[in-house]
Amino acid sequence: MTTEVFFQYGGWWAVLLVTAIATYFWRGLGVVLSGHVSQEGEIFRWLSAVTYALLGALAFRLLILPIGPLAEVSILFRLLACVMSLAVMLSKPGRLFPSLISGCGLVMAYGLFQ
Amino acid sequence: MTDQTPTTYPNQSFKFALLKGMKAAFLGPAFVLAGGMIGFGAMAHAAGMDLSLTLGITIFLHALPGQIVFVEMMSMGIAASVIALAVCFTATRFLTMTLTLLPQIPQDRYMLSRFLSVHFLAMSSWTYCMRDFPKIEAELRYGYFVGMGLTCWLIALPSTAAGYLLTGHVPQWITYGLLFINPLFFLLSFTEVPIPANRVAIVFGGIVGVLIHLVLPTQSLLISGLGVGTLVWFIDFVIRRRRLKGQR
Repeated sequence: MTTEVFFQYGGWWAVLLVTAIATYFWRGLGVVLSGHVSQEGEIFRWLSAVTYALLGALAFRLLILPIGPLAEVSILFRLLACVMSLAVMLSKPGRLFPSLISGCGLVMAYGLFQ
Repeated sequence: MTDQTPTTYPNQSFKFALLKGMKAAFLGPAFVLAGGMIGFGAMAHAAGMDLSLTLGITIFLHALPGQIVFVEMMSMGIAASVIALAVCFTATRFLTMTLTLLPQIPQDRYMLSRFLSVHFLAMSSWTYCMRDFPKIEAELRYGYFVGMGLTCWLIALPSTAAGYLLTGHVPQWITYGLLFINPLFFLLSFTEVPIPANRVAIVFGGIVGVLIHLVLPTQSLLISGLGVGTLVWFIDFVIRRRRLKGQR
């Protein structure tokens, strides 16, 4: 594949260049299309479903099957931290910060008292 | 959508709005973004990425999910073109974000700067702008948006560097917390997704993604994203069709 050859020679900065263009593409397209299209179309629905499925897969995998240091934290504690954090988040609107701190705090406490 | 005729902005009001946006950034989105970027820096360090590339990713992508996909897939040794495709998909949400935000800003002579300004857009600043725009005069919105976005973008860089440099120098238990920020942040932000089909996509994408990861770790993200996302969209499409027919 020609793209793979490009990446082989350009290294990770070449990958960054391509991903940066791809990311900006959607931002710029929004400026061009703004006010001209409805975002109720099927393509938008499909794109957002794919994006959310991908983000769901990413988040679940990072939490359940992490690679690196986080894997040293027991899965039970990771899940407990998620449940506790979600409970704080859903208890009252606008509690993003406290819920983040409580979840990360539990994981840190595990590391500290291990 | 734009109900305003092109207006010539007095420079004063733009500056005023810019400062207002910057101030508002420090009251909310800047902290959220800084936390995420610290976590990203920590992840990049743990994945063995060098500092300059890590900072480059923050400057030029400025989109946390894409940044994390990049680092995660790279550390797993996944083909670069697959990484590019996955990052591209995570960025599609910017289209929805710009399409909902920009029509609230009057069209004006700043077309070029408008193309520049969308690079600073992040989920956090978008949420705050969507919330605050109805309360702000139309001609002040652009400055507010730029002030908030720019502040967030400028904060992202030192935050990433801090996360990167801290990891390895702080005790391991702090590293755990830093690495946990982003996955947890994604999980929490899922609770605010309004469309039911997208919520179904998140949960099934997550479950299928974990299962595929056990068999095909390098392909799990793209397969579960494209496969589950398309399936959920199709089922939702059929259900909506049926409902429409039932109404007739």
